[in-house]
Amino acid sequence: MLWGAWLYLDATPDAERRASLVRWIVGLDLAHDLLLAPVVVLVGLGVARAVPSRVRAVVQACLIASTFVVLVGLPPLLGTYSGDNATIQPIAYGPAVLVVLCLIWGVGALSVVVNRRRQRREVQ
Amino acid sequence: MVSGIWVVAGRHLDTVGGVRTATRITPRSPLRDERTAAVLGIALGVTFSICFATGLLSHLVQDPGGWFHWPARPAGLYRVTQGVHITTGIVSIPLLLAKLWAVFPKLFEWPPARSVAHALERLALLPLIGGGLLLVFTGLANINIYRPWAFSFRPGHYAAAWVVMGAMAVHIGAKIHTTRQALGRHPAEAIEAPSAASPRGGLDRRGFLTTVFGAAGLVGVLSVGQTVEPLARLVVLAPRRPDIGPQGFPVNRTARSVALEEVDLDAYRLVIDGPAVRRQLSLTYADLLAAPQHTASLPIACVEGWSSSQRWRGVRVRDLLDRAGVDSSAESVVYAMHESERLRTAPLSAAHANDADTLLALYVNDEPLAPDHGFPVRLIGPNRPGVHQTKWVGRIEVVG
Repeated sequence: MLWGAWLYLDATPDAERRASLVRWIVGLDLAHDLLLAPVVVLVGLGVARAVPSRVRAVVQACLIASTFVVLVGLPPLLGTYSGDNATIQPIAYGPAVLVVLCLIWGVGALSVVVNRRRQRREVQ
Repeated sequence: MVSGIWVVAGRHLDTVGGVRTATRITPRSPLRDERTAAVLGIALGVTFSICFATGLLSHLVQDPGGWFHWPARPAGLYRVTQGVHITTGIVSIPLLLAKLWAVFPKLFEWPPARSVAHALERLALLPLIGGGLLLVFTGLANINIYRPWAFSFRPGHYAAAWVVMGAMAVHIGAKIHTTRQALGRHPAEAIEAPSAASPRGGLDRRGFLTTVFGAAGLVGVLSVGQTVEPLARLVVLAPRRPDIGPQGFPVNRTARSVALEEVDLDAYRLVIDGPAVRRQLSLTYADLLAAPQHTASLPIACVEGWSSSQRWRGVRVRDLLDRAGVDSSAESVVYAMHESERLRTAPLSAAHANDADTLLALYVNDEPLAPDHGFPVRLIGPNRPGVHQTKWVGRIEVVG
């Protein structure tokens, strides 16, 4: 850890830039603890309350998978690059991600149907 | 009273978001929560370690520092190591967020420190978590050419990597006992609560882990096509597709960004000079076209994790160095024509200069190079990171 700290101090003589890295490390910690985690808790509680229990697990799984896909795809989805190099973020990300989300929820819906059929068969 | 509130908060949070890491049938078992955290922790240990090793390699390739010699073969080695680096980084994102979720209740542990060792262990979490988040965030943002921070990416990302590995070592040391316990024993309570049936119908631990690992695999598959060309059509989350760009592959620096959209071919000279040449050479474009040509299929493997294989044709570097009377053990520096200082030079070790496939390319896929791809001449060689495949080559200085 100290090696890393030394490396950084050595490579970055600029005091303002040094402070920036530390601010980012602390900031990301806080952003997670004060923003991200509470939001996840609230959404989760909402799901627990609003979604019928027999599909709750599948809904949670689809939500989790969807969130990760959107999170990793957020920079190209938001179009963070706006320069003149057309090979950076070259495709239409919105529709493509939408297709992936439909696939995720489609698989989820399918698993609910398959499960219900299986349960019905077991009862018989 | 304060500690009472913490305890209540902690107990409620063991069902964070309705997803449980412990069932209610039995009293909350610390082993259960630890199990989820342990599995995710091990997964992260693996991905972060691989990411670190490949990242360190990439750093050394770009900043060799005298003792490090990067070979010219296998031709696709850097493409693989850097592709692995970016992919393990991306796959770490769901794993890291899921791990943080799983251990979030422990943030409210009371008392905050049972001993000095415990306090240090908890304090080391700040650089571990903050640094880990920083690495994946800056990594993902950087490959998307998005840099909203004031520090310089490479030094910051590199230093943070060492900090995180150190903090991870502390964390592993602190948790090794709990981890072994959590994964080793099968608690008797498990028999009463088969993980398939969670009493409140939400995801149980097995379902949660399956979802997280599945999602990690999914985001990996949807990004890896930027370097694994057969999977290019699956690229939905990555910022490059290896088959999209002028002449069929991506561009990092455009000709416009270095003011080289037009090159006066009459005035163009490729100069080979330096203290270790016996004959200085100054070649025109026509001279290069007239020289014996050699074809090679080689990848451009960008530091940002995309790669694309193309067919290049040009003059062997070794042939020109021979013409200049250069020894086969000589090291050189390749200079681009542009004024911009950034990425203007690239090292050319003897091993790379002597390789039969290291070319001063004039053609790609049977067409003269596009301006964005380095017209009139670019360096292309096996196992070189993209930043070292110098475009718009103006000079090779043989230093010794």
